[in-house]
Amino acid sequence: MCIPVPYGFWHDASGTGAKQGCNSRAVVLSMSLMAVGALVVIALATVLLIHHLWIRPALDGPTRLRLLFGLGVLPAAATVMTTAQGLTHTTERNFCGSCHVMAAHLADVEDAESESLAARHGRNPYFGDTNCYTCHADYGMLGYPLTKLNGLRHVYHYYLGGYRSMSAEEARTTIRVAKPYPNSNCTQCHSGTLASFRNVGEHQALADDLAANRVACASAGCHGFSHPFTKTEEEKLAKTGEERRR
Amino acid sequence: MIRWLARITRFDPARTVHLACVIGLVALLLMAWSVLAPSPLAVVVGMSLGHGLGVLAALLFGLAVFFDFRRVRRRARRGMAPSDARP
Repeated sequence: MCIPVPYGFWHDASGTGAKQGCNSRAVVLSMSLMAVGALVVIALATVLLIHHLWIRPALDGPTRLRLLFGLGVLPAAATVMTTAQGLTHTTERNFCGSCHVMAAHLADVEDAESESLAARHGRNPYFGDTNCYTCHADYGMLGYPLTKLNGLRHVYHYYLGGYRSMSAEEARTTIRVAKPYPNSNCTQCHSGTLASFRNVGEHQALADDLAANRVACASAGCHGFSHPFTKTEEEKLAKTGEERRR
Repeated sequence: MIRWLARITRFDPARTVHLACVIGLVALLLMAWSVLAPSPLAVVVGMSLGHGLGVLAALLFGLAVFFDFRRVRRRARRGMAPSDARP
C-alpha cells in the first residue's frame, strides 16, 4: 500500500522500502502534498494569464486585480513551493543517481545483498531515501546552503565539465569526492562520546588520527569503503582520503 | 530614473502587460517542469531561470500599472484644469 508523506514521495507501508510495491498509477501520483499544491497554484496562474492573453480586456480595476494574482501572488506562492519541493527532491537518492555516472552507486545502495558501507546505511530506516545526502552533506550552520552550492558544481561538471560524455566504467574509476571525506560526518550520528564507541580498542588507539582525519573511518582497515566497487588497487591500500586522492 | 523608465515604457501599458503575461507563462512552465520531471537540469533551470523570469514578469506588470496610473492622473489633472480655474 502506498501512502503519501509530507515533503516526500509515497512510501510503501509494507516496509519493503520506499516506492517498492507502488504501481505505475501511484508513481504518476507519487508527489508530495507540496508538489501537488505547487502544480495547482501554477495551473491557476496559467489559467488567469491565458485568459488575459485570449480575451485582451482593458486594463481596468478588475483586470489589474486578476493580473495581480496571475503575475504576483500565485507565482510568488509557486516560487516558494517549487523551491521547497526542489530542495527536498535534491536530497533524495533517486535524484543523486539520476546522472548515469552515479548509476553504479545507486545500484549498489539499492542492492539488498550488498555489504558496502553505503548500502548498509541505505538499508537503515533512519537514512532511508536520503542516505546519499545524509552522509555527504556538510554540517554546521551553513552546511545546508554549502551542500547545495556543491551540488551546483556537480551539475556544472556533468553538463559542462565532461562527465556527461564519460562512460559509466570510466566514471567509476575516475570520479572522486572533491575533498577527503571528513570523519566528522560519520560522528554526526556515531557519537564518539558514547561508551560503545570509546570502548573499542582501535577507536582509543587512533583517537588523535581519527580526529585529525589522518585515518579514515571508511577505509579498508577500519569499516571498509563506502563505495568499494569504485576503488583501484592502489586506493584500496591507502588509509586516508588524502592518500587515496594522490 | 523615473523619466528613463517612463521612456522605456512609453509604449502602451497593455502591451507591456501582455509581454509580462507571456514571460510569466514561460516562468510557470519552467517551474512546473521542475516539479513534474525533477531531473538535476530541470530543478536548476526551474529554480534559477524560472524564478528569474517570474520576477521579471511581476516587475513588468508593476511598471505598467505604475505608469498607467501616472498617465491617468496626468490626464485627470489636465481635464480638471479649466474647471479648477477660478474667476
